[in-house]
Amino acid sequence: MKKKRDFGSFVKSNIIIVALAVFVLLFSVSAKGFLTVNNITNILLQISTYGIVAFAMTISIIGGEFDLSVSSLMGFITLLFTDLAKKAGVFPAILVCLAVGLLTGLLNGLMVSRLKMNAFVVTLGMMMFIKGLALTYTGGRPNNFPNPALNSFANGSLLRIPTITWFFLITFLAVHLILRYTRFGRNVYATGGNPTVARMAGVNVEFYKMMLFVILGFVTSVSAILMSMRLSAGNVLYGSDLTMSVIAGIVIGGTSMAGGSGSAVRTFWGTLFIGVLFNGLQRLEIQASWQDVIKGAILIMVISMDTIMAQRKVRKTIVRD
Amino acid sequence: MACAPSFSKHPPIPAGNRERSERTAADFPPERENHMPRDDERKSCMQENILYMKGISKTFGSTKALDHVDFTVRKGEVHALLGENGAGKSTLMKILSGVYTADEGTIEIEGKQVQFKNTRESAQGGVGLVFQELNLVPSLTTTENAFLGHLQVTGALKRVQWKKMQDEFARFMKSIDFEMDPTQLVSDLSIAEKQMVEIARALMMQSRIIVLDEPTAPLTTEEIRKLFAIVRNLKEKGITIIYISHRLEEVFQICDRATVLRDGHSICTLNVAETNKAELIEKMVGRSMEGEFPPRQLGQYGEPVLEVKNLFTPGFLRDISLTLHKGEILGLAGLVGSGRSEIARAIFGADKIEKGEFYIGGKKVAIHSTMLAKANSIGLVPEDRKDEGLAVDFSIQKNITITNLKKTCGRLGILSADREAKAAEKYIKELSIKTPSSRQRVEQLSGGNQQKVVLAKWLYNDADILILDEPTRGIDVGAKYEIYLLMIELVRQGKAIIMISSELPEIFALSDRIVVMYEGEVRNCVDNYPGLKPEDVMQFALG
Repeated sequence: MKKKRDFGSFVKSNIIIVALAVFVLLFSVSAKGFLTVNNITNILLQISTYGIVAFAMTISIIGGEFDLSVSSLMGFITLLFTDLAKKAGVFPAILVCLAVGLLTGLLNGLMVSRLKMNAFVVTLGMMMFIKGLALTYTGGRPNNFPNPALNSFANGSLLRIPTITWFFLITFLAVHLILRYTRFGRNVYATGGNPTVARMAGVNVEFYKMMLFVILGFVTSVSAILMSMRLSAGNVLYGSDLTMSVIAGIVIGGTSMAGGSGSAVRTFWGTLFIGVLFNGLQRLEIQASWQDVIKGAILIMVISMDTIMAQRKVRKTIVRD
Repeated sequence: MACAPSFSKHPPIPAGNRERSERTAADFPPERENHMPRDDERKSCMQENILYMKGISKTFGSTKALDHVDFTVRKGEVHALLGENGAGKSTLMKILSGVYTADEGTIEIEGKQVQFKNTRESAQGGVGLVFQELNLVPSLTTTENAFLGHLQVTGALKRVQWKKMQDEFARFMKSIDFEMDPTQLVSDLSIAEKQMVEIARALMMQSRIIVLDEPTAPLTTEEIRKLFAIVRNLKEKGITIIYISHRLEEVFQICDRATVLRDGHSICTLNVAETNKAELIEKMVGRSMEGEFPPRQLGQYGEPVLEVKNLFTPGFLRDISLTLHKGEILGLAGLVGSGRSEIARAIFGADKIEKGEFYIGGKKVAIHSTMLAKANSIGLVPEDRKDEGLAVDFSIQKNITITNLKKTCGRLGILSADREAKAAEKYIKELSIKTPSSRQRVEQLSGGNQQKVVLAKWLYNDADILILDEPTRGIDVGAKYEIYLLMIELVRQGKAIIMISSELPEIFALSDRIVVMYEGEVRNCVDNYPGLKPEDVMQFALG
């Protein structure tokens, strides 16, 4: 089979990149100061915190599961981190926060993989549980934690790329490599693609299902710690729209919610698209409520175009491995 | 010569056989009509053609699936459509039902030219399909399924007439002597009953032609008998049936005529009463088959490799003990539901066991997960190829290497696509899996080739003990033979095989010893000595 690289088929299989280019072009013309180094850095900064979680969530979705509890976990960790850092020091705080993230993931994972509970229900319950915990923890008040050293680290940049964005890029690379080049990654695809077949091939399906949540819990708490360092604060509200934004980015990138297919690269483009869209609309100074309307409409449009194209395209016989 | 033109890629028919096939052609004048359709039309006052597919061609990418195929079906007959997998049967039927569009050719139904764009149109045009994969909604009732897509409604509010439809469904079921509750959920039905609902659905839409694709594959003997009664009943009512099956005996039981396809060509159409199994097989494979089974020296096996002692599973298997030897094929016979697959699953760690001991090479081992089974060098080729054996969306190579990814990894534990492709290509060659590439989705392979991929999975992990559950189900004659040869080669290499099969001839031809199951128990274990008769085994299988 020879590889055809004509423009038409590129558009069909990469709607998201085309859509991204279109919107970048559109905003460059219409929104003042959109296409400046400053603003591009700004966009990268905006997508980085959630983007880190998006990559971990991509693993979960490929493995056939997803997790709603990350949104309240993020808020809770920012509170926990700021509080503990004040009381016990930064390093113990980081360690405890990472452990809490891991444990939450482990708990979710055990319930889903061992007790065969539905992930939607488990993580919905966990979401409410953690949210409640976070609210009781500080009575709903935000925590302030001004620490110049941490702040300048988190808000700093290296080679003109913000620290947080470095984390984003490293997570991207790591997840990409894991999914594509490791046994773990392959088994995640197999588990998400068809758990019965995977089990009948002697794959430890339960372990992989569990690990999906563990990784996600851990990565979420890393992201939350960075966030509270950058904003010098902890707040129960941080991350409240995390789940939705992250899943929007993943799906718009073209990873199927059905599991078994998708990639970190797709999530990268999807997340970038969402970042550009949000930033551009802000720059156009459209009323906030209308911004939401437009965002929703555009998301649906892009995804439907992708779906329509996929249906038109004859199913690929040769799989890209 | 009307029959078997040798444009196939199969080896030319040897002289001796050619003589025979010429005689065959002369002996069966009806063959000619397919190639000279006008003859047939002249006779149409006697036997009217309901379906006439003429010069149908279809190309997928670089492969020509159908090449000017003619297919004529008479009104009210049961017409077998035969051919190996990949011969083009399904493609032809998908063109008939509008799933695919033909590149060339015309379709006439009752003299009128038709061109269906989808299955909805073909259903309205009187063509009903009952496919292997049952297309029913499990959470709806039998009636709801039978009327799915064409619910009967009344009044301005288009209120659904449940009662009327239920009555109609019940009446219909009664008319074909089949008992079924019109309000029962489909998820509670047996496979045979589900099939009936599908047939009912086809008939509720006033189908005049019904295509049955491998209807008996999942059925028990008793259910097959019932199905045949219904098929005859439908025939009496003037409904035309196109019957696709790999079980040639069935063709002789219920079909009037048979059309053979090979490599996308229509080879011939024969009157079933005037042909025999050997001839049909010859037409299908393009060469004469010595027999259905390759010869095998029985009874030459080595020391025990696997011993199962006093195995119980919750509520089903009772006190199962059996021994498998090196180089042995152990046949597991018994009726469907007698516990054969359950033994396989228990040994493979897929199901929970209550108690019981496993010994491998004399050493006691615990097998309570599929991982442990794999570690103990056991491999299972499950009964349900598409839902348990293969991830159909994945490529051949991904399916093969999943059992042992470690072997695919380089030094740093990094998966190497090259290594993976190389491994897959080795098995593609050794097992002669027909595919253009190791990156082909397994979904696109024929049943026989898919089964080879499942086998390759376990060979890749070097499994010494292979459990094959209905290894040749839904596979065409040629591929079956290849699977048999493969099994014989594997045991020759010192592997041990447990073969579960519902086809006694298969068990008799290949097994060194035969274990007979009945209701969760081992009834008997016999050596397969030359004088052993099927009746000797069946009496135990029946209790």
